[in-house]
Amino acid sequence: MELALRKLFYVMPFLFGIGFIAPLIAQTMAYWDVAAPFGMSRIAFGLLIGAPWGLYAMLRGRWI
Amino acid sequence: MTEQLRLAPGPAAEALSPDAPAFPLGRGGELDKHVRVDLLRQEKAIAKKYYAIGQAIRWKYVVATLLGFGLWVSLFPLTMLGIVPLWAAFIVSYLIATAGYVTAHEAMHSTIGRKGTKGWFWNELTGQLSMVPLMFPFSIARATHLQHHRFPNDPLRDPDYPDGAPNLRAALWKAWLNRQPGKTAQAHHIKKVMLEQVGTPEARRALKETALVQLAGTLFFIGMALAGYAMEIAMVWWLPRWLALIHTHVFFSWETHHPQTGRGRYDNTRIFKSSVGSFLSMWIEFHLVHHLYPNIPMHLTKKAYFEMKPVLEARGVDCSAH
Repeated sequence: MELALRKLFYVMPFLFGIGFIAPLIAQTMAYWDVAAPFGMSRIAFGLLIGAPWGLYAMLRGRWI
Repeated sequence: MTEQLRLAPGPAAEALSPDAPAFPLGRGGELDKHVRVDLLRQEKAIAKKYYAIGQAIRWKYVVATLLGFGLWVSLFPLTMLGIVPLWAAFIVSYLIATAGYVTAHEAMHSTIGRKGTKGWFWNELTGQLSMVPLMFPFSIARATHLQHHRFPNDPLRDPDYPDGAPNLRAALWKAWLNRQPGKTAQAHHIKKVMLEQVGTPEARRALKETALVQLAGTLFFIGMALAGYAMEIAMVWWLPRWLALIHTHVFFSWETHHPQTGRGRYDNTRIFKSSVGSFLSMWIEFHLVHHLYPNIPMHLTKKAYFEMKPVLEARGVDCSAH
């Protein structure tokens, strides 16, 4: 149980990146009526930022 | 011939005074034992008075908590329905989360009700609800805070020690770093202190609760974001929480104990002017009074301090800030 929790916490920044940051970016763009570049959907654009950012935070241990 | 001998103010002049002690008493650590005992007696009398005042109005903390928590919860539907603008919800949530630490703090010291009394239920309720916006269980907040009171400024035994920084800018950066997911996280230090120094079953349980609460909170964030309410959650909980955590760690912890050098009764914290003023620092500028007498409610420490000031000055405490 403890090991599973530890692993879950390790990957949590990545999950947060795709599960929270990405939809937050997409919904903020929709709120301000901003279109995603290159014909992408807003959620795809959100994932393009959220996923690598979360992965960076997971591997580096820091969001910035 | 009858002209009196004039001396500059100081021990020698005091020695010539008719009511002077037979030998110099000095200040601070040089005080004679009887003087120290007398000063402590005076201190305790003042503390007792403000403790009694606090006990008479302790219900205010419960009411403030229930109102604050109710308002905070209501911000979710109110923003989702577009009744309250997100920027306003953000400010209100940030203030509630920050002030929530103060009401929880009273509960940590059982000021609202001691175990075994009727007030205990309200004490625990106040503590639990106050900490929800910070997504930090009351159990770990109490355990770490009481440990901090036992060993203030101790690098190995004080859970708040990682808040230390040479200046305000560094303290703000440190507060950010301490909340990061990796090796810089203060959580590692807290875990070590709780397991190795405190080591009680309550401390272990509090650590487990912390992990579960933070996991549940993060999953709630994700769930709400996927349901289409990412902006509302970000502005009502995620960002205000972040700001409140940095606020509490910098202005309630770092600034009160800076530069973290003293470990004695009168020098482990200080009397100071807060960088954010009395209101936003929630009267923590008189933190020495709190460490001397933790059962005096925080908002009464200012009055207690001014009454105690001559006694503290006689002790050699630096009271120049107020």
